[in-house]
Amino acid sequence: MTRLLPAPLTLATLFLLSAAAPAAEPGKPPLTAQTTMSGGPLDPAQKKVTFDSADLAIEVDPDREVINAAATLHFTTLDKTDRIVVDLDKNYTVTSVTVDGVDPASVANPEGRMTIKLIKKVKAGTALTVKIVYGGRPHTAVRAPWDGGFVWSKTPDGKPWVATAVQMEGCDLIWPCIDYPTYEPKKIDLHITVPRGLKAPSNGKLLGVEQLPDGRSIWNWEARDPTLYGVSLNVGPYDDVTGTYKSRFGNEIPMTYWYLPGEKEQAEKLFAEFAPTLDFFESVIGPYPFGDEKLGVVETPHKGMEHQTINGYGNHYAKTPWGFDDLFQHEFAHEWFANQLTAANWDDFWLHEGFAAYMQPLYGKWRRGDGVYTAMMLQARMGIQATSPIVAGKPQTAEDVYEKQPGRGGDIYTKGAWTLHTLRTLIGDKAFFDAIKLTVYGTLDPRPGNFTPVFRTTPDFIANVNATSGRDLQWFFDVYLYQAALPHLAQTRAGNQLTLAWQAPGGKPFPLPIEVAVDGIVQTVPMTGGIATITVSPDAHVVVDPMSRVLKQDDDVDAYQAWRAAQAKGDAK
Amino acid sequence: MMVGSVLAALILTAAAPLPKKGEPAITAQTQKSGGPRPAEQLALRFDDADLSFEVLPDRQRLNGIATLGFTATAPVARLLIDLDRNLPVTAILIDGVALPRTAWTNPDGQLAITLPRRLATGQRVTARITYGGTPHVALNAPWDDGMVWSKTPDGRTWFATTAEGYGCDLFWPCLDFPTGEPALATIHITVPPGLKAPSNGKLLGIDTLPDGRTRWNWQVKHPNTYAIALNVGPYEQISGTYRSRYGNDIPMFYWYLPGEKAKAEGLFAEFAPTLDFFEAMIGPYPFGDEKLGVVETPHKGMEHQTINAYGNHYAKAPEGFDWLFQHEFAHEWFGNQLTAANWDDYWLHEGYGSYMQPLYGQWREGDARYAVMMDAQRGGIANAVPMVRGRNVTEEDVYEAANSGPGQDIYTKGSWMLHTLRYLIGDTAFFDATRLAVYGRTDPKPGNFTPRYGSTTEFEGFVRQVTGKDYRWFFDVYLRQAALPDLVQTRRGDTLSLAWVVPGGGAFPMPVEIKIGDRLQTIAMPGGKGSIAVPAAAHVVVDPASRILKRSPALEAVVAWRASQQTAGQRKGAQ
Repeated sequence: MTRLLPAPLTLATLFLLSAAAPAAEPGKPPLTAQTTMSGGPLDPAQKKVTFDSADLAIEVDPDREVINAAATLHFTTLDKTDRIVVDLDKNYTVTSVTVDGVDPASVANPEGRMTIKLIKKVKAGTALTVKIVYGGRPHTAVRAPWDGGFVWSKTPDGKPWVATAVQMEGCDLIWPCIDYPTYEPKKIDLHITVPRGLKAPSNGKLLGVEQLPDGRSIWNWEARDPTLYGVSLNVGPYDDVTGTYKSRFGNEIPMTYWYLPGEKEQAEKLFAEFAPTLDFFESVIGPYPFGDEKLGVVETPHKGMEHQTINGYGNHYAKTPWGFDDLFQHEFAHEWFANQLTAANWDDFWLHEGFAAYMQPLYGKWRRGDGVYTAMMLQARMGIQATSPIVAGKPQTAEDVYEKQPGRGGDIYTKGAWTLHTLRTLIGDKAFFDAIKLTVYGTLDPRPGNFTPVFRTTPDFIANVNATSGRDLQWFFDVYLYQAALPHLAQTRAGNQLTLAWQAPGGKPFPLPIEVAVDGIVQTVPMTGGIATITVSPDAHVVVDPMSRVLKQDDDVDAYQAWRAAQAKGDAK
Repeated sequence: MMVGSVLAALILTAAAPLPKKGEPAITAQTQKSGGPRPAEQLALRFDDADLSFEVLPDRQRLNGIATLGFTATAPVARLLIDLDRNLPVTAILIDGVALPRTAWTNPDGQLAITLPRRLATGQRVTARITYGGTPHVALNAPWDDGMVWSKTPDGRTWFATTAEGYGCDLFWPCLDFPTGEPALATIHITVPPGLKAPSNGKLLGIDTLPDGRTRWNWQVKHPNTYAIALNVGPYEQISGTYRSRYGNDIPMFYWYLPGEKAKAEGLFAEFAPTLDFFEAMIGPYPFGDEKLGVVETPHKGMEHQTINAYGNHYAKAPEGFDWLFQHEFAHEWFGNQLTAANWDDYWLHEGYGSYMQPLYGQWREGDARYAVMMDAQRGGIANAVPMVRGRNVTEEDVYEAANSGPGQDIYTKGSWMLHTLRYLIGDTAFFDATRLAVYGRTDPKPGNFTPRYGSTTEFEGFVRQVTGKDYRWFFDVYLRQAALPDLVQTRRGDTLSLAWVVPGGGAFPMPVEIKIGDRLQTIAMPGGKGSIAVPAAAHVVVDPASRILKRSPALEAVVAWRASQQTAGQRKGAQ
């Protein structure tokens, strides 16, 4: 998702939500701990199934702020089992559950984890179809997308405008699913019914729009391998702008932007960024992973979210000195880093956010060169807290990572991006981008059709870096990913000698080469064993790491952050 | 010496209420600083000034005795001296002889003194002027000027003055235009017990008066007219000595408010490395025989010569140094040593003054920091009015965008112009031209230069001198036009064509770096045009290191977007 930033417009929209009789209240109805969590421990019964496909028919009723839905879920058992367990917010009223068309032995959903006892135990390899009919007032977000739920909003001219964002809390706020990153169904069909005059752009390919006699319409979509939190509802009186991108890989990619009426000119400008941004990603990373479906963006009443092939955009067309919309670019980066490559566990969240955050400076460099790249990187440097490791090495929920460890939620973006920046210098562009290709596509030669979405861990990425660089760089990741503190480069100058010594947290080895400019002449000091001494005339002017290529502890940054924190405290008083 | 005037003041204003901010009102004549001067002022060389200030903070009054020594450079029958009429003159002695009250008038802020006899060219005259009253109080110093009356956090008296915009005549009788510097100023500041009065130049001594007050005596050579400043408070002081690379020792002082010792020491610790940077990159600190002085002020800051005002609250910055201190200190070279003779050339102060922060960032941390700091300045450039307009103008004609001046562009656009010039002519030529402008020579050493006046035209001449080339085309576009040059790119087949489109339509042969794939090359752009073969599939980045100040549609869009957000906000506010 987008960076943790205040979103006053979104909040304002929420609070302005007006008087329709039983209006949804932000944060209501409350969620159980089980439903709040995404990616927590699986139920043993959940480990015994694969999730093959899902068919969701959802009617969105913006006037009453309720949904009514029927979900048909196809599982195959991996082991014998007497139950199916799915996650679904218990605030929904469930009116019917059938398994293969008949009533199960029992259904219970005390805490948001629905246990469906089968009438008889089934063996491994059994295909089961579970149909759940449910409805009611869903959980309303307080501050989407940083917390999740439904956003019931109005367009400036008072028409319904609805969106969802559930990255932190998971799919079970909207539909019955197994709320764990690797339980993506192979395919999902969506049938979204909306009132007259409204549209429902969603994930994947549009199969068709059915007009009902009463003026409602049903929007039928089909998406393959959807990221679980990527499945989203977006309802509004949208206009759209559409085009086709001719890829360097030979395929053609349909592109659509759904926007609120009255914004044609701004919308066309944002749309004009789609093709050059695609061009950047396809040149630098590889094929757009969902070219057979679409590139889709929809304007949302929240800031933004990387919903697969239907990215949420709520950045108000803000302009940046870099000359591109950084929110759109960031969310779109997630099509590669979140939707094509999905972290197998939220502990590896940085594989989404660190890479996605690095794509803005990299795009700045692509468009305008090293000057802009450097400016963007140094701006991000100020945000790094270095108070918790960005990878824990054990299973974590999304909230564990994003909210529960000091500094980690921001560092998965900024420290993640700086780790990649430092790595690129260390191993060079070829090995760096090859490692990314292997991690994203599983091949160095990705072409449309020769890959499907993958689940990856941090060790997978490290192994790929080792493979493409031909070196064992575990020491590098041990420090940057698995330690909280940043490595410190101690400098001592005595007589005509300059000694540089890495002091890595935990006393770990850290033989990272460093550039040194002596009176403007740059040399690279190899730092074998983490220490080096070079000869420097006593009156020479020395600048260490003059291009800021290496992430390291920095007294100036620390002092600035401490001062900023003190100022914030003062402001609060 | 001051007793008589004090008594007079007591009688006159015993019950006067304290002035509010912005009071008492000043005339247009007093508000302006610089611009065209009357013949009588141009006919004077200002040799020396002896300025006694008695400040009465409780009543916010100022009494002064100024003894001004001039030499006539052309025959002159009367003295025209700038002085705010809120500080009425009670006595004038010419060469020691009192004038009748009818010999002077000050209807609108210009004191006209009819001399007992006409001065011939080369003749010297001394005018001793006794004055006093309620000095103008600033609304929002240093962006406007006057007295800044304040209190320390523990309630003690603390005040300062600024005068860059309105000029020296707010506080003392002077020639309020840039070249009106006296060759020497001796300053005596009398303050209430317990207060200190750090000021310009060297401290000659502190006298304790029978009533417990103290008189602080200072002497400064060639002070900038707007640099003479009062700074009074219960200061504590840190001092040290800097051993210069030129062999001299420079005393350093920081006067700060009690209770801030640790922070003050942190700031003081920046003085030596900052001096080191300036002396290595530009040349000798111009006032090493006096001091490096900084004083904490209740306003943001000002480049008062050898007593820089600092009011940045010890703010920390990503670049790791205090930009405000560094900026004001840069003015010791660009403002105080090199003074623009006409405010039209204000960019020589502020463009250079602003370029010194990225340059120091580069000195400390390298090219990455330099790039990010330049980038931060780029967003502020407005390009609405040319920086230099080729006529004699006042300070506010330039500084105030509301007065149709270039405003902040003299900082940011000036800095970016220098960044681009450095790329164009190289470091050696760039810094040699800079040294010529600052010191009048490329081999400055302590003792072989004195403060000097400069101009844009002179600077262009120095660039021509060190490069052997005429860069009029460069300065004409960046300084004398409002709009930026636009680099038009056309890619057709295997050819990339570049063409400079510049305001005024002249030639603009600015070479451009381009990156084709991973290969960097420079297109010479003779006649402002160039083309190069580029494979159709190649990725091209023009000016990848952002070396050239040129039109940016992205920044124009940011400005337009911000304006539209503001309009939307106002609309919402109105509802």
